[in-house]
Order: sequence, then C-alpha cells, then structure tokens
Amino acid sequence: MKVLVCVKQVLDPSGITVNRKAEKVFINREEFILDPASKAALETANDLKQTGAEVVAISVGPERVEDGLREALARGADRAIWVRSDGGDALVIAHLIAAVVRKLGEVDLIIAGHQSLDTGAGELPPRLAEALDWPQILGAAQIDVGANGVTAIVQQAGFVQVEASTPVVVAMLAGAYRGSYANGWRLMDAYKKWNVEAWSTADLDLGEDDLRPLTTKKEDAFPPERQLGTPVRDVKELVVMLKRERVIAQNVKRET
Amino acid sequence: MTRLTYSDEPRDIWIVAETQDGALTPLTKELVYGARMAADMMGFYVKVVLLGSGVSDLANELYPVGADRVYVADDDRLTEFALEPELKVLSDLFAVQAPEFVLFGATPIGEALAPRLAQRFGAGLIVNALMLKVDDFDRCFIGRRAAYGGEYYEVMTTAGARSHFATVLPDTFGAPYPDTSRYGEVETVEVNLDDVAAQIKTIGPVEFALPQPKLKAAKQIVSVGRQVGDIDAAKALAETLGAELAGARESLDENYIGESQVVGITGERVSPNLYIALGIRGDTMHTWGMKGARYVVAVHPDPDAPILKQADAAMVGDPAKVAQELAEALSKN
Repeated sequence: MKVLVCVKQVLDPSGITVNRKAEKVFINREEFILDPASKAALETANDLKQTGAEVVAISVGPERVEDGLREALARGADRAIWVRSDGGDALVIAHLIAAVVRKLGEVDLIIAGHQSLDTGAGELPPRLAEALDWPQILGAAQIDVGANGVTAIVQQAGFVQVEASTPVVVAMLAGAYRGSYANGWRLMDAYKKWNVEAWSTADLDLGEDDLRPLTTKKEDAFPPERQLGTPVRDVKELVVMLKRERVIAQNVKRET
Repeated sequence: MTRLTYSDEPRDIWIVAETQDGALTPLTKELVYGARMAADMMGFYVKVVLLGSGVSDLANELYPVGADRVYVADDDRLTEFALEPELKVLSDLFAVQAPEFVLFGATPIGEALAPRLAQRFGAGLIVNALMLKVDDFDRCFIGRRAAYGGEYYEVMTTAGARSHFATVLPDTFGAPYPDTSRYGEVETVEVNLDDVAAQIKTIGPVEFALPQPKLKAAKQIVSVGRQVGDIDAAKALAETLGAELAGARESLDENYIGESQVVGITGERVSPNLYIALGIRGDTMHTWGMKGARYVVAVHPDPDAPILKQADAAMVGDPAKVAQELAEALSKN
C-alpha cells in the first residue's frame, strides 16, 4: 500500500508580531515550521507503516520546503518529493499533486492536514479529491486501514465513525497530533544519507490553464487596535461587540 | 476540469441553501440577503439552489429576504447530506446555468462542496470569508479571511477567474431585513442520481477524545472566579458557546472547577479567541495565563477590579446574571 502525505510549512507564529496600529505584520524571525495538521498527517502515516505501507511525503513550493520534507523523512516518510513551484493557489497545488499521484501510480491513500495554522482554509484536500475523482474524509481524528478500506473517526457535532473504500483522501485535524518526535537517527540520516527528489512542473504533463492561479492575495488588512478597558453597559451592547469582533464560534446552539 | 460556457448576459449571483431539521438555516437567509444587496448594485438576479426532500415549501421563505428564483431539487435520496449525490445535482445544474457568482455557507457542508465544485469548474474561491463584496470593476469577489486565527486578515480576490465562489461565515452581511411584498418563482431541477452513490458510509457516533489538552486548544473559554455567584449559569453559557470552562485558582478552592482547568501561573497558559472572565478579580497570577487571548470580556461586581482594565469589553455587574442573559441573547439570533 502506498500512502502519500501532503506536507505544508507555515511561518512560526511566535516569530511574527502583528501591529494593528502600524497595519503591518513584522517578521522578527523568519522560520518555517511544519504545520501541526501536517504533523498529525505524518504521524498517522507513520503508524500505517506497521501494516507494511510505503509512505511518500510531498510538498509544493520554493527552496525552503526541502527542509520541511527532510523533517518528514525524519518523522518516518520513506520517500520525499519536492515539486518546485513559486506560489500558486490551492487550485494549482491540487493539480500538481494530482499529476504526481498519477505519475507515481498505485497510491491508495492521501493524507493531508485539515486546516493549517496560517489560513485554516482546508481547501486542498477536497480539491485534490476532485482532481483525482476520489472520495474525501474531512476532519479525521484517527484512521485505520483494513481489508475493506479506511475507517475513520471524524469530528462533527460529536465524533462519528465513517468508512470508505480506497483510494481516498483523508484530511487530519491538527488536534489529532499526539506530539511524537522524530527519531534522532532518522533525523541525522534525513540530512546526511537521504535525498529529497526534486520534480519540476515541466515533468508533470499539465496545461497552462492548470497552472494559472485564480485566487490571489491582494493585501493584508487589520482589525482595529485593542481598546482595553472599554466599558460596556448591557448585554445587548456586549453581543454587538462580540459579533463585530467575530469571536463567537459558528457552532453556537441557536434556536430556530 | 470542465469549462463553463458563458453568454454576455449578466449571470447572476447564486446561493447554495442549507437546511437543518426541515428549516432553512439562519446563515442561508443571511447569504440570500447579502446577495440581494450585491445584486441590486450589479443588476443581477438572486438565485437559490435548494436541495433536500420535502423542501419545496421553504422557497416561500426565501423571497422576502431577497431571492428572485429558487431552483428546487426535491428527492428522497437527498434527505441526509451526502457529498456525491449533492455534487452531481449541483454540477449538472451549474453546467447548464453557468453561474458567475456562487455563495456557500462556511459550514462543514459548504467546506466539502465549494472546493470540489471550484476545482471542477475552474472557479476562484475565497474560503471562510468574513467580509465579502462583489467588485464591480473587476467583476469578481473581494473578501477577507482570517490569518493566524484572526490576528490579521488577508484580502483575497478572484480577479483571474471566470466564475467566482466563496464560503461565507455568519454575521458577514448582518441580519436580513425581510420585505414581505417580494415574490419570486420556483423552478424544479431534474434529479438524475441513477449511477451515483455516496462513497462515505457513516457507521455511527463513537466516544473519542483528541489527544491534545482541551484548554490549550480551546477557541473559546468561559472562566470563573470567586465572585461568579452561580456556577451553573457560567456552565450554561459555556455550553451555549461551545466553550471550555476554566477558572482562576481561587475557584478551585470553591470547587467550581478541577485542577486541570486552572488558568494562570500555577495552571495553564491559554490563547483562545474569546475569553470571558466571570467574577475574576484579575491579579497578575491569573492574567499571566490569559495574555494570549485575542478578545477578553470581563464581568465583575466591583468597578475597581483590575481585570476590567485588561479586558476589551469591561462590564460592571452581577456575573451570573450577565452570563444567563448572554446565553439567552446568543441562542436567540
């Protein structure tokens, strides 16, 4: 069984300061870390190795993602593929990964992170499922692979168990990460012995249309500065403030 | 990728409606209302797709909030949400109608549908928009989405695409202002689901707990202190919000919370989006633990309590009463 793990790097949030007054994001220390959801995906794939699975890690991006892939190797991946690309939206990345999957062949399971730390969009797994015409399981907390396919525990209102036959795309929750470490020897080998395969977009039989991003970032915007100690008179006013700040979760139990 | 063929006519703004327990969700009505405002500016019609079984009558509730035409796909096989049948019905409809702008709710359903349809039709997509408008110059969506959990926003645009999709969070357009004199028309969508079956089988609910500590990962926290008055009101508020209950160390002595729920130097350091401090005085021992919170609401009977100076919303009053009223107000709308 071949398992593909999609790995994403994000800027370490402890290295950035958001200054609402200056309307700027200051990057004090530009360090990229593996996204917690990607770590959960790697951890899950590593567990599947005991059943004889081959784990291939993949990442799309500029030079820096090579580091993330070496960490993926240290965390148990058998092979790492870096698709060189200078940006692109989820549409392009889904096309690229799907092309790699077709080229590799015999991939039975794709595990990705459900929502990343930075944007939390959760767009890639369903887009990837669409590009390959596979089913999708989003928001998985745990998966098991059996003879019949994949069973997963999915977070909805509570936790629900679902079942699908392979091939399937599974998106793991960041909260499913148990906090395992990379093996020290593997970490040494990842930098000294093993290689990250560099693939270019030209190797992947894709058209110009498939590589053109359609959703782009225009600029950053900032919430108003915090006004500590703002007095509130009644609950009605408080509700208005909470809504304006968008700090109430979507899952508020509402009477309809 | 299927390319949609367009005419030069205005191509309207569409909403994919969601129902829950046989009623339209409040978010669906809000989206229709938001679409109405954009449509009036652009000269579009507002069209709604309604999928489900026994949903035909719900169309009448959509006209007052702004719908011009409702496409109803009423079929027994669409009773419960299943991805593949809904995708089939929607993409059959989209292939004929070629919608230019489509809104989905930022719900688990929208999250599963929107990216797949966007990939299928080569559409631009803004996910989890918390501000969204139709740009009349570029004829695209411009929307904000939260970065790093809302520390700042990214302004996204779908300017390069021919069709534009977005999933939208609640409270983006505000509460609908219904106009009961409005009317619209219904069109029945032919449902062709003969060779489509749901590929994910639900087995049933299971007991499960995520391995991460609950408090650290919590997005909302209701925190109590000695002055909370009535702990049950705080618990009820936490339940309404879907928040975790926590407290200052003193509330452990009162047996309001357990050892693992203490926030402060002698407990956990938390970073939720919303931190509601009920009856906590706010000494440094405690406030150290809540420094990472993005928005702090404090309620305390004493106007001189230090916590009020450190909160974004500071309220002097009886915490139990405020908690109760807040829970009521939030569950109503």
